[in-house]
Amino acid sequence: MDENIVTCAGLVKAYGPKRALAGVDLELGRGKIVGLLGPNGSGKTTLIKLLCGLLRPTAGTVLVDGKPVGPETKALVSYLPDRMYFADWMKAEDLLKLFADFYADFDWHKCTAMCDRLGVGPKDRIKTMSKGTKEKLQLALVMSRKAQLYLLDEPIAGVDPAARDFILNTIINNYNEAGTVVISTHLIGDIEQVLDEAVFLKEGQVVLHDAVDAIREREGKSVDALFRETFRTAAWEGGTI
Amino acid sequence: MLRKLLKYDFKFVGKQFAIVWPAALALAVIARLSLVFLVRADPKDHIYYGAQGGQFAAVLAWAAMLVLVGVLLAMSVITLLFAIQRFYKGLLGDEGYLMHTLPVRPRQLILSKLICAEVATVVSVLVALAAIGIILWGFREFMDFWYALENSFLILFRELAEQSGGGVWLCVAELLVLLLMSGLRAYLHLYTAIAIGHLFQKHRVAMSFAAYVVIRAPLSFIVGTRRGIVPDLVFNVGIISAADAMGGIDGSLSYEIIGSAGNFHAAIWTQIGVILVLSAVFFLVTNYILRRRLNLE
Repeated sequence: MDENIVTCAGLVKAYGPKRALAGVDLELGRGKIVGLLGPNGSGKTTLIKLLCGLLRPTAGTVLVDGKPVGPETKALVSYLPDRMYFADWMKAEDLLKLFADFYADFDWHKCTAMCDRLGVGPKDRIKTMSKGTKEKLQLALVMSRKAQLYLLDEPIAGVDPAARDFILNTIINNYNEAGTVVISTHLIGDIEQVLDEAVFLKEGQVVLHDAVDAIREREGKSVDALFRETFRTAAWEGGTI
Repeated sequence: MLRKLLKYDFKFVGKQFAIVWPAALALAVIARLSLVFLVRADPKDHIYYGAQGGQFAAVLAWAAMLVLVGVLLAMSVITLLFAIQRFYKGLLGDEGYLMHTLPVRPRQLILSKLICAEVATVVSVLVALAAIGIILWGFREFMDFWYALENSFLILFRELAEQSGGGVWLCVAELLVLLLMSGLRAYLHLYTAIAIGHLFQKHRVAMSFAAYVVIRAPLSFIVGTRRGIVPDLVFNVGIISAADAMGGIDGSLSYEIIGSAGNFHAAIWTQIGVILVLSAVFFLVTNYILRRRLNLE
């Protein structure tokens, strides 16, 4: 077992001429909740997709548990994408069976209990669920695994405050404490209190990686305030150019 | 892991064809019933002449044929689209986010899709044959054609078996293997084209189409340098059936045609070998792209 669950060195991902990640060096330890923070287009989703194997790096290395991304590392990673990835006609039960089949660390009882609380029955079709329920079901599946690394891509984007609380509570109460949770977001205020570490991504590079307490102590301000300062773009206030 | 993937992918086959296959058979049954009861065609008689309902009956008979052609066309289109969609959407669309984060190898993902596409195709062909049988079996026009076909197949395969040894059933089995392999080759050709299209940032569908056409050119050259055994056989059966229909088979004619095929086993296994090599190349290219160049944006 490697000391770090995530190791990136000189990681570059280019889409044609545009570089989404421009040389990321990052090491994440175990048993932490890490905020992957940055504005839209800073490379958060790209980094997460490289870690779960949906993208291949243009240059550099990306290791999970000390191993290159492959079936072995995928067995350790629980990934919540920024979209629905299930076929509409499936029933909730089909999804549970799928997860139970492929992931040895999937806890069936935990997931059915979470589904009960969501009011999702095993025979309910995905098609009949609201967008919010589908997202919560997906979260329940992902958090019912005892994974080494949870990669949660924008789990609280575009949801109402009540749903936001539900999502954060589900994450906090269900993750494997020996594992690491990476939450990407630009809504820092809502998650700051649960984070152990923060990683700031700016234009495809890590500009800050530190413990949240250390940041607060050093800077004398919240991570949210520091974020606004780091990523502030001066608005044009009118007048003649 | 492949077994688990197949379990999941076969659910899609069931979902996709749960209506299509039974509907094709039900339509065939309705078409036959309308022929037999409404037209009162006696199966022993000709459909057309034996119909007692005059023009109305003729229209119905044609409508039944139309239903048959429609069902067969729809089924081939649905089967082809299914094969393409399950690969394109299932591995390179939103659903790919799930499939590519499962702890499985890309080659297992490809194999699972391929096996499902092939099985769906085989079942579709069987259902299509059953639909033809349900509508037409027993009617004289069809039976005349059927006996001619059966006869020429028998003659052909007996001659082949006699010349090349091994018996009629071995020859038939070899032909079936060739047909199944051709199906796999055709699907792998499609997958390769789709995977190549995926390498581009934009216009992926257009690029897939272009890749398909570009691969097709050398392919038809390879296959075209010597005439395939299946076209040969179809041609021979056609000639013999025609000779039969025109009144008796000219034995010397059929023997001459068969004689030109050379050793059947050697010919068919050469062709299976060529298809195997092509399939392996397609599979390796597709696997390389999914393993090393995957870009789900």
